[in-house]
Amino acid sequence: MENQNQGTSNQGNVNQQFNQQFSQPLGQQQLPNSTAVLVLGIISIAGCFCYGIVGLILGIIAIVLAGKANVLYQQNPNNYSEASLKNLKAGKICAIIGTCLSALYFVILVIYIAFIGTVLTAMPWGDILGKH
Amino acid sequence: MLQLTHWIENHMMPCFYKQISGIDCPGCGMQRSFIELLHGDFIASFKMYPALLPVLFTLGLTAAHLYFKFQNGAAFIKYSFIFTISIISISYIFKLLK
Repeated sequence: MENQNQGTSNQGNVNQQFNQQFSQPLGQQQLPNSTAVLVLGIISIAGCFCYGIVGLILGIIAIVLAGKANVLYQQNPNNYSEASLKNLKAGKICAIIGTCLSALYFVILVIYIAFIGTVLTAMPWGDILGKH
Repeated sequence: MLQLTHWIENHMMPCFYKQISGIDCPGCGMQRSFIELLHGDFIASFKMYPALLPVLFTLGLTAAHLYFKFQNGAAFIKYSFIFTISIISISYIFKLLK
């Protein structure tokens, strides 16, 4: 009996040590959406080359999510783990850079299309087509 | 592997921007460069699109960080991201000036 009791108490101690070493303390949880913000922020560069719009949308979503999560963190700073906060900050910075680049690219694209459109509408199509 | 390469070669996404204006966009050459990489030709891949390896490195680092949860992984991802972005911009400017 005593041996068994010792065994169980030892196991309890080991479990406690394991918990202290390898897992987060109780009460600390991950910030919601911190991984999502990081992933969206990284993918927003991939979207910024090809069409501009994809990166813009992803980046804006990431920034909005990061803002919401940041408000939650400010309300209860002790409730959330530090690693997720770091993830969130890194994701936010990546998202901001990606959004800026995609926005720049998108604006250039829009200006280009507007320019082509103006040139096409300003050309004297009636005269050109009428002569033939 | 060969089948995969073949499939990608035949299913490349066309660049909308290049179709309209005839000028390369910052991402043009990435797919061709990726195919060169799948063929195992690192130098040709680098010459075609220098930013491919940093982009792949950043994506891999992010996946590894989310899976293994490194101590300072977030900071590394941030710096890697900034490095990648600067490589892309510089190589694009060089391509335009050529």
